[in-house]
Amino acid sequence: MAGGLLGIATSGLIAAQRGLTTTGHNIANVNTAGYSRQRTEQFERLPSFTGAGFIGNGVDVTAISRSYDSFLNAQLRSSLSTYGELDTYHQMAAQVDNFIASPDASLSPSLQSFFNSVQDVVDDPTSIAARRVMLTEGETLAQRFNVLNDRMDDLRSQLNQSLGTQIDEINSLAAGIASLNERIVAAYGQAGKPPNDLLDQRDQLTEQLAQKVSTNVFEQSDHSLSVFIGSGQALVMGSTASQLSLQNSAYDPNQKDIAISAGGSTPVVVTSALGGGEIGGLLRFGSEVLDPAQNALGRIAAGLAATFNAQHSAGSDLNGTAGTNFFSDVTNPAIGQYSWFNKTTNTGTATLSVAFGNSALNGPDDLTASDYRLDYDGATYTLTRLSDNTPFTNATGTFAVDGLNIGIGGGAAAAGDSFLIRPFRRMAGDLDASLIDPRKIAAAGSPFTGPGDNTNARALAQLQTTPSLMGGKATYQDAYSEIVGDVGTLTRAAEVDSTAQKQLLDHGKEARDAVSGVNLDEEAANLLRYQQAYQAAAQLVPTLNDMFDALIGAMRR
Amino acid sequence: MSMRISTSLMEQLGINAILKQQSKLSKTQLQISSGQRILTPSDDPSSAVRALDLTESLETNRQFQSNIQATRSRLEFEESILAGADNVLQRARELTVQSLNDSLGANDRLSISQEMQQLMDEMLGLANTRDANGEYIFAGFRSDAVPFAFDATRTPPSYDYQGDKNQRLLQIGPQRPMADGDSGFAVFENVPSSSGNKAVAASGGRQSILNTLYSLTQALKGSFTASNGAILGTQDRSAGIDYSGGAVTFDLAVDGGAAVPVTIAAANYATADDLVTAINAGIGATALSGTVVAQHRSGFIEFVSATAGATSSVTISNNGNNVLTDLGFTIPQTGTGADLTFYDAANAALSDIDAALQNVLDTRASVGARMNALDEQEDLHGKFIVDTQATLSDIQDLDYAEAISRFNIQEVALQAAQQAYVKVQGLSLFNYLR
Repeated sequence: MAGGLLGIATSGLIAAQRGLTTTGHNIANVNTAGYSRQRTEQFERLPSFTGAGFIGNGVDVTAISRSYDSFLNAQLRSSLSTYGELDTYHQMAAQVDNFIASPDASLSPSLQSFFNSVQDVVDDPTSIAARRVMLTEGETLAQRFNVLNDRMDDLRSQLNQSLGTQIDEINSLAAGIASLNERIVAAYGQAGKPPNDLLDQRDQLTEQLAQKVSTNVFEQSDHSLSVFIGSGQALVMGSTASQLSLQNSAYDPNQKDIAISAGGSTPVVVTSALGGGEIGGLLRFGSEVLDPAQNALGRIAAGLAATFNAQHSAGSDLNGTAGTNFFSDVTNPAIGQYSWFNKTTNTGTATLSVAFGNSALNGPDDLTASDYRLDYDGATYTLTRLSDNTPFTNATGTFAVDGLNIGIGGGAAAAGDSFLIRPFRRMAGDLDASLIDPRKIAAAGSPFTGPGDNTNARALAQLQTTPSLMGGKATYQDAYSEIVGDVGTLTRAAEVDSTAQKQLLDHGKEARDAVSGVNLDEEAANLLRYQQAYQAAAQLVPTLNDMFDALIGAMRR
Repeated sequence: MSMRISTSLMEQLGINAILKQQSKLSKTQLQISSGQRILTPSDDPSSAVRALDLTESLETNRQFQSNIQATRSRLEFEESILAGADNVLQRARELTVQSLNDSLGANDRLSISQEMQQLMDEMLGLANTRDANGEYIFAGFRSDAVPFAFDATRTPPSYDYQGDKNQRLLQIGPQRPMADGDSGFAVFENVPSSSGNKAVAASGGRQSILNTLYSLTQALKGSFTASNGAILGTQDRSAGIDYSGGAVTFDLAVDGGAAVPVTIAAANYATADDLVTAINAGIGATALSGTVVAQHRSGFIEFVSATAGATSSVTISNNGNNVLTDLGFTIPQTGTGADLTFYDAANAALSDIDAALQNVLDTRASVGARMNALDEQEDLHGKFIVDTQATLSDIQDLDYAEAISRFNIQEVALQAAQQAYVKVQGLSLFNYLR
């Protein structure tokens, strides 16, 4: 059975060669992301039957398999989603956390300097210098509000931009997975064996997808992968991928919605169904940190302007004429002209009038920092406070609630029309110190008795310590401290959570790599093993040769 | 069986450990270089908020301290002016007593009048003192108007107070306002005149010290021999009175003549000046025209007869419309003029100078009490500022000893992580495959 031995030798050489090739492949891919360690699967060949019994025929390499555990991979994907969400949320929140209380950006020092300058006018009501300082400090305070608001606007555009980038990446990942699905199905059909490297690539893409948005995958019987994101939105089915897109929300163009469209169909808005991953982190940061903080800042700006203006108007200036507004007039609907949004489907012509109230019944202490929605059903207007969905109804659309005066400014609403009202979102950006003449500061009381009168200036100075916001419970500084406390607490929680989740993620990677990762020492040992097996199998050939020579020699004799 | 560790993960874990130590070290370094324990609110949200609130009260208290400085410097200035007024009045008193000496003749009194005139001018200068901002310190809120000016149109010509009765309050504590001065009305104008100053009008029971000194000077010169019949109301009508509901009437009799009804037209009178103009218009429409005038002294309504001497008098009666109650007259009330000898005038002036001295003394006592209160309040703020700074420091300042030892530990940990990484990197079976 010389052919048998040669066959065995050849099979051994081939098996060892395959083993060496696979080991080399493993070593070469030691740093390839998502690579799963491969192994040659060796089986004994079917033996031949002889009179002495079964005699072996060598070895076959039946498959190159990859070390892979789908459970560990699913767990890793879930950890990646959670960590991606928490880490993004933390990174965004930390940006607010960084400037909200820093000495050069925070509201507190400007607020203090402004009221100190008011006190200096109390001390010296006829001094033009003291009055000029108060005007400058008032302007600085307004600018500080503006700058804080700008920073928050910047973060919102950064958020929108990030959402756009994430969505582009998700689309490209989805296209990649769909294309790999096609090749994997074809490869299985062709060879009946797993195309390991394609499978690794596909797993790698789903991992990257999981970092961006929470992802669930199901392997179909044809080995294609169906991918669902968020709470079950189909992203990839077989070889077709849906497209995500960013579009303006139905009301506010600065607010972006994520829509999904399968095979060119009309995009459907799925923002609220998406969560997890960097997208989830961005969306949560917007709704939990940025929007509330900017609204609360706007509330302080509106409250400060309303209360300070009212007191300032109650006094008399250096010329003896009645005081005017010191800051922007927030009781005038002009302040709210950009604070309301038509729903894109509205058919009526109504425009809204949005301003802040300043009466005892409907004043700055009633402000909530919430957004509102106004709906018209053809007979009744319903104003809904969005923070707790409390409805207010009125037949003419005139509302004096929560320190706001909301009404129909012009035109007529049609049944089914809807409006979004964000009274506070841009208030801090719109605040302005409108007074320019230092003589116009109303330090004196009314009626005017003389320029030495400082009674109104004293009343203005006392506003600093008067709890005029939040139901008469908070001063301006208290209200700002609340923002700082909220942002600080949320950022701290996000930091703690993301650190904890990072641990879980590392454990997940460790567990996955324990199965799938390449260990170079192990590969070095394999290298030796297959090298020796090759050398030994190669030794069979000269042995066979010797046997053959011996046989020929015997014949010659 | 032990767990397989993949080479790349092992490497990554080593690098992660180094990065983690580095970020800890960098945070400690930031804390040490800034001296702050809390770098951002998330480091300790509740303490960060507390620090903001404490900083606000700290800064507010510092502002109160600066308000106290302003108040004190003004009260010190006022005190120096009042000391000057005290000296002037003491000298005026000496001169008056001296002039009452029977042995002095008219010429002697004339020479005394020279010095009295100087004292009078000095007193006027003191009462019209301006501060560094050019504000008249004894004018109340009307600090841009000369508080005491001679008015030749009055009957008889006399000094009139142009300021108001307000005191400017400065905030020296959260709930503590403090007056930074006194009005000229309180110090110089509203001087009790228990004897009734026969030199000007024996009517009101109070008298401006400037008018006292003025008429005394006139008397010393020998040119003052009679006073007008006059009565002064006791209600301050600086803010006017509202008679828009209908015309009001009261009865007035002059120099012993018959009582004549005088009507004030229906209107809302916003100031004492408006009211006086309306009363004079009412008088002008009657037979009394030219025999009596209404005028006001710092808002108090006064009726003065045009003539002077023992035969002059003003009598007010009949309060059918309550107008006299509104102005603060008793009903009926008569003010009689007098023919005066020098001794009458000087004796009356002497008692008024004593009253003015007492008034200045009372004001100085009040200024002194306020300065004491300022010191107490300043101490209180000082203690509060020190306490708050200590609390604030506890909250936000770094414990350097702790931070530096932490820094050292973290430095060692970083070095250890780096060395462990290098060592582990050197361990490979491939090193032996040669």
